Amino acid sequence: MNNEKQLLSKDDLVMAYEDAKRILVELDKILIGRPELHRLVLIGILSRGHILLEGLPGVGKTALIKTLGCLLGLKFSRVQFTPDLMPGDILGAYILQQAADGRRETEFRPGPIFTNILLADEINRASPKTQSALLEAMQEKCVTLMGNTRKLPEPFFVLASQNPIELEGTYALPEAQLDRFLFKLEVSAASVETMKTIISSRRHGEPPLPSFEVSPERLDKLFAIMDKIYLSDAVADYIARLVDATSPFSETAMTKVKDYVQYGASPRAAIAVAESARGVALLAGRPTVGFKDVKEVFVPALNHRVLLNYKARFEGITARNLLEEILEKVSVADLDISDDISLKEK
Amino acid sequence: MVLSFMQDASYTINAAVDKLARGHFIRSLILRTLFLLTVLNFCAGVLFLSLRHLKVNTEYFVLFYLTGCFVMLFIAFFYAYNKNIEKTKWLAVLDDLNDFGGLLVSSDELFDKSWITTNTRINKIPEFNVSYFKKFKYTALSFIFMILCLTVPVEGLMPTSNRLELNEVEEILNKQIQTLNEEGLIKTDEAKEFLKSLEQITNNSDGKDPSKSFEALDHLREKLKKAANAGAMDLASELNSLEKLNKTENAINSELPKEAQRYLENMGLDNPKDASERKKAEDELKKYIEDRFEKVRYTVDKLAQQNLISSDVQKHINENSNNVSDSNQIMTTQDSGKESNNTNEQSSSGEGSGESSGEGSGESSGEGSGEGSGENPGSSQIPGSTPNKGTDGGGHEPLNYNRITSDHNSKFIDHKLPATGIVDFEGSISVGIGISAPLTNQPEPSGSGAGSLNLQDTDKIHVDKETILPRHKNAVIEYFGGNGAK
Repeated sequence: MNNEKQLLSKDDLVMAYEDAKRILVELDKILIGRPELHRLVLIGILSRGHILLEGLPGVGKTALIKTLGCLLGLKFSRVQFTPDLMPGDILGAYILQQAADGRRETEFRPGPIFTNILLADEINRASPKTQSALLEAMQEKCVTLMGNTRKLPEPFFVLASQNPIELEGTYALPEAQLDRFLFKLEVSAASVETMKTIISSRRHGEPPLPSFEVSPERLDKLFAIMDKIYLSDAVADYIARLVDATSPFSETAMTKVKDYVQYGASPRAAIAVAESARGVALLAGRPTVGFKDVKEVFVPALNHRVLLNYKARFEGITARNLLEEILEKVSVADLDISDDISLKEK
Repeated sequence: MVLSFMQDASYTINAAVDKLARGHFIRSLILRTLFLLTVLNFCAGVLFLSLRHLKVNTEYFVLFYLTGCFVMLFIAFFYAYNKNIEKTKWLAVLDDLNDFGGLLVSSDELFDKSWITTNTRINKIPEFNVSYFKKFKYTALSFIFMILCLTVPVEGLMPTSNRLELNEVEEILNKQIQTLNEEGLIKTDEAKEFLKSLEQITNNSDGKDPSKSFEALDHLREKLKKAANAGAMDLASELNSLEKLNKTENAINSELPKEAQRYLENMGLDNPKDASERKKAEDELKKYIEDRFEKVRYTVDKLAQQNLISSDVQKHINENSNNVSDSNQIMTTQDSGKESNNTNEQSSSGEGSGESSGEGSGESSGEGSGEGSGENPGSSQIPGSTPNKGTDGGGHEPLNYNRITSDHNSKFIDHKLPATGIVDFEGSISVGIGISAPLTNQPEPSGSGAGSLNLQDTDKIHVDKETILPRHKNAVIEYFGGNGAK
């Protein structure tokens, strides 16, 4: 788990904490009205995970990703996914070129995926073939073409968006691809107050540019600190029990899980929870992952990984409902106490 | 800024963990104790109830219960001790509740005191919420159950006693033995032996198997009846002798019975010297005979009252004695022999069988009539009192229908059965096996081929037959499965 058996020093932590806080504050300043979403997106970025944003058009998904790219000083590409989009349009292609000496040779032209932040806009509109072109890139952070594997630049994030309406001509993301996203976040419509602020302060819908940019060194340092945040055995046990509780085949599964869940979350989900909980700890200025950090990221990390059955759909049960119930039922410590004894907060 | 929430605490980490561990231990101990106490109370209740039935001294119950409590406490303590929860888990609970963000558990795991020290204070400690009511409810119920088991009257729950209520039967038999002894029909030693047997039967009586006791009592009763009948037979033969003597002229010169001789000796008249003494001796002899007849009548009445002899026997002896005293018609020994045979046949064929089974009486009927008349031809045979096997199977004493059965606490209907001597044979049938020479088939002269079956001469036929009385018909039909019996 953790190789270093020592907690981060306060000095190291404070620097990373302050950087993360600054980014978050700047995000909140530029994009108004969604501090929770910004926080989770930043946690996802700090955890070096891919994020799937789901929301109606015009709610600020692309603006959020663009701003984040600017703040982190990272290269940013945007690909609009359409049904006729081919894998080569994303990954790149070999092009036959004629050299000055008249010789013809193939030359690799990297696609938009060779970037730090890839905005896959309306990802569910591309064909499964094109969608699956992202699988290797998202998991292995590399691209293999014509037998040649090319590493993607570090860090690499896929921030995808999908539109929950206009589903004609769309292809739902396969489970394997969904599992590769750290979070699936819902971008809700802005409130009246938020819209009022946006209208009055923004001309032509353009958000202001960030006032600072995190240097690559500080970003590397931030990621290094993230790796040193300690996850204790007790918390790891808690995560494992939570994820196990989502499986209908688990001995400890609730009746509802057994009734409504077809497949529970995978070990990759447990890793996602642990990694993102580290991000929460960093944003809280702590060198250790706490139980509340886990609780905070549990639902966004698992709500797209738990596959419900048809009964749940008929009865209007959502993965979010089930996960929230699991959070309530599973105790932080697996106390082997009698059923007649319960712990109550004083 | 960071971790400011760690200030203003009221418990150190160790104190908080100890408090939680102790609280859990005590509550586990209480709950386990209540559970075990409930089990103990129910078990003890059942056990106490059983022991009370077995009439075990109740003073040991307290000792047993206290021992049980001690063992139970020990088990509860052992259980609670083993249920001790690891410190890490308590730390996790405290960490989560106090928003330490994993610092408590991580510091404990890594032994890193840079963020958390032993002096770090804990603000919130969870409280244990125990549903004591449910447990107390069951424990209280178990206590009530145990107290009920200790106080409920045991006699009301089980049959009062296993012993049979044989008082009435015992009393009757006791009186019969005394009567036989008083009348000199059995010796004192024999009487003592009978009383001893009776006492033994009474002591060994068992309500679960009353037939055993009643069988033994029947056996004793039969012995007494045998003795009574033997005595009655002696009295009858004495009566015969006295009767003959009474009819003889110059009886004083004839051979006198020993008792009469002794009587005259006592009077000094055994050798009369002159006519007046002879006259006096004859008068005394007559007086002795009359007295004796009176005495015999009294004895017979007493025996009949005690149901030791049948009313027929009583009637027969009384008639003889009356005949003597009234000098009326004297029953010839031949007639009395015939009558006795007839009556004997009746009684031994099941009429006088009393409580004994019909099987026994049926078996004895043939032998009784045959042997009785064959061995004592012409003698004054007492009806139904022949010492042959015919009387062995059946008792002459009528059933005591007023007796309350100890098994079912039920009472027979007080219904008088007809006397054994007046059984109506109307409707009875005889069954038996006929043994004869082979049948002959005589073809008809017409030559049709069909012949009629004729028995051979009757002198070669021998038939063994038994009479089935009307009241036994159903039993016989049932026995043979009703095939063709109708």
